[in-house]
Amino acid sequence: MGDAHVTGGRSLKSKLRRAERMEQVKAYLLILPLFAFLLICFLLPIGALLVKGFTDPTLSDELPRAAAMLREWEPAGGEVPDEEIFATFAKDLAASRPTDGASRVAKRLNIDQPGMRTLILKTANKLDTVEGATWRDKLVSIDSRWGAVATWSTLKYAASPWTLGYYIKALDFTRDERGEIVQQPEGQRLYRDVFVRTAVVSLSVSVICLLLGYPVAYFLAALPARYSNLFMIMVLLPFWTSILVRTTAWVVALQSNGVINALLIRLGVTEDGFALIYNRFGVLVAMTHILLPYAILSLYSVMKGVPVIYVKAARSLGAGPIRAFFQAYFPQTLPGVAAAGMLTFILAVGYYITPAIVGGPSDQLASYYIANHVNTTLNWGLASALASMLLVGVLLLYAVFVRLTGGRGAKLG
Amino acid sequence: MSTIVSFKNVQKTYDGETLVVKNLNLDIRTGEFLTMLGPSGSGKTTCLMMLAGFETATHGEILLKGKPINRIPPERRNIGMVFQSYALFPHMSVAENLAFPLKVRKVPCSEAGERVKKALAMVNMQSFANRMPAQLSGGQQQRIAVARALVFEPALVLMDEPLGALDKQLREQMQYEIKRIHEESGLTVVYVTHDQGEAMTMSDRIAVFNNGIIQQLAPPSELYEQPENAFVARFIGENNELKGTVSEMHDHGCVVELPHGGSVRASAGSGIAVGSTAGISLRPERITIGEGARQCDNVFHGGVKDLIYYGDHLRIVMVVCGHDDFIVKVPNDGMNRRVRVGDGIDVGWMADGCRALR
Ligand SMILES: Nc1ncnc2c1ncn2[C@@H]1O[C@H](COP(=O)(O)OP(=O)(O)OP(=O)(O)O)[C@@H](O)[C@H]1O
Ligand SMILES: [Mg+2]
Repeated sequence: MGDAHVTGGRSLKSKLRRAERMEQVKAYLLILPLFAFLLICFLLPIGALLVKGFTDPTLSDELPRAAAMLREWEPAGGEVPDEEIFATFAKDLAASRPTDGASRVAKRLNIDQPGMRTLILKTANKLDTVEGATWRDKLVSIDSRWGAVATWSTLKYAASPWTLGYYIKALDFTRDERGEIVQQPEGQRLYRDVFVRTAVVSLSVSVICLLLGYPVAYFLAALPARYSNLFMIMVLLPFWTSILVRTTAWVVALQSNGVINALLIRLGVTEDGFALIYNRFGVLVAMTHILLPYAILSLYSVMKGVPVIYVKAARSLGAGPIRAFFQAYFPQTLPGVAAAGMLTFILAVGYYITPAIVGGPSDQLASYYIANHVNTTLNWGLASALASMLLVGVLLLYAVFVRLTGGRGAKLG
Repeated sequence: MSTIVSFKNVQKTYDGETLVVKNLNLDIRTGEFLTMLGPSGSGKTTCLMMLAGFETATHGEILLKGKPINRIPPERRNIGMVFQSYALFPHMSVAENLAFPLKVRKVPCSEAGERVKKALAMVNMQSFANRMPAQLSGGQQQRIAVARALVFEPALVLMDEPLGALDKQLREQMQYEIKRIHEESGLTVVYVTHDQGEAMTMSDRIAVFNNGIIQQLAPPSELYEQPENAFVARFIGENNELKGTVSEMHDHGCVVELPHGGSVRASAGSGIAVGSTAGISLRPERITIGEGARQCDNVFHGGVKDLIYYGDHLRIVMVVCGHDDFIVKVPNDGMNRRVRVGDGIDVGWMADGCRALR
């Protein structure tokens, strides 16, 4: 009797699961075209970029034999490599000169160790004329740095086509001359601060957006449609101009002899104006301004679905207006709060132009450095490592968010 | 019997132009089940909302237990309210919903638990305490809404079309349960409905609303038997209306001349005088056909236009006195099965079974 019941229950469950799976398959078919588009135009290029964070082909392409031998060599012994490696290196370097490989090697190594550019280029120039019994003597007589283990370990860690070097650097670690991974000295650490700053600024911006946006969205949701449409257009108005224009407008407004300071000086609040821009304040103001509509829209869409009748019900049950709001209305808008917070946070994490224009040197976010490495230093590997870390951080956060909102209840925007 | 609520000359307008409630005077007695019945837009919900405190009267005052409440906010009126959409808090379980008014009133936890259990038992929902509202059927949600409005033991409960969303069978069951709870607890219920059947079976008194005015306030039987005016007669129950001119008045009633010839003896409603036009309200079930008709005070002859079979009774649509939708309701007792469409038959009714109204 009992067994029959259990098996009955189990088969019922599997039936339910099968029915649900059919529904899911149908749903997936609907998103298939978009998914294909994303795969080809978005995911594959991004994947390629992410792979760049782990590849380092310069030395193994330009100096193939020397790179292969260096990979076997152990710097931990404290000895420079033997004559064979010196000789192979010199021959590979000489062979790379016609295709300008030497300068690529020079540039690549200079990233790991400043000064390597001149060393390599100088060595490549003097290879044919230098005198000496062995290649070791010849190289050391070109530059004494060839006699140091550190120089060769720099080469060794650039010799493999696969590398963790970019991530090591992006996490503010480095390799000492024996090849051990150690923390960067205090003064040279950079990216940890950048990531912390990115998180702090994004969090501040999304909290400010929520605090400012919640009352506005509430107001809009409570208004009859003919008025709320007008206000909604006003909320959406900023979307009609480009971010660049809006940000520049803030520069005009906030600069030391700008509109706001002029007003404050006129009113006698201050004598020579406040520093409102090129600092954290300016970044928060401008980013909040740009992200606020997103927060308002996602809050509004949830609030529109929460009838005011619940507040009435709570009051008829004896709760005062404040209590009725916080216990009957506010909890029902939490999905909107979570979505708005998440949306503004994610957008803020990726913001680049606004902080670059209105922020000071210590207000630049991770994306600034990524862009910098892509456009200026051309260190795409490091840019990729930084970008991946940002992406993973956001994905982790999103996973937590989905967990907290109960999995299925996650809706963004 | 003492009065718990009185509306005194209450007026209400939303837009400053039209009065939605026009000069309402209404005394609600302690412990009674009073129903507000009326067509859509007649101001029933508005009255309820003014009583609950969500709307303010534009003019006049509302007294609760003798004290004016115009300035008291809803949460301090201690009036239970059941909304048409139930308004159960979707983020709270059934038990939390019921405990909400108790928590607000700082009732100690253990006592609150007891009272929640009692309230659930009252609506036969003990086993649902931990469900979320979304996991309940409409009827179950409705019961919880009633239980929540009663759990803090208000003296007065307002219900705005609480059964509107339920199917007929469930609605009848819930009508019975609400009535039972009312009788057991002795509270005062003000109930709003569209459904006259519901109003008739549940209420001690019914206030019929139209255009923001109470047309008649009376117990159900009086409303049905002695409607004050043509609107009430038409609105409550089925009605044949014969228009004519009053030609005679006497102690027991009046005589009304019909334009197509013939006269009807009827009881007189208020405001009826010789020479005035009147509509005679005649309930279809008060009409006798065939042999029996000839002994009645009023006898007419008419043709059968249609027969509608209802199982327990038959409806005969006839042409009588120039009216081609004269309806007669006869029991399905075998005798009446012989009537055929096209037959000419006698119909008759007693003078006290019809009423001349202005
Ligand atoms: N908030 C409001 N603002 C403006 N007019 C309103 C408002 N609420 C109701 N009215 C108007 O007042 C009149 C009476 O409305 P009320 O809701 O009291 O009617 P009701 O008798 O409850 O009708 P129903 O049976 O359809 O619920 C209607 O004409 C309605 O349009
Ligand atoms: Mg209503």
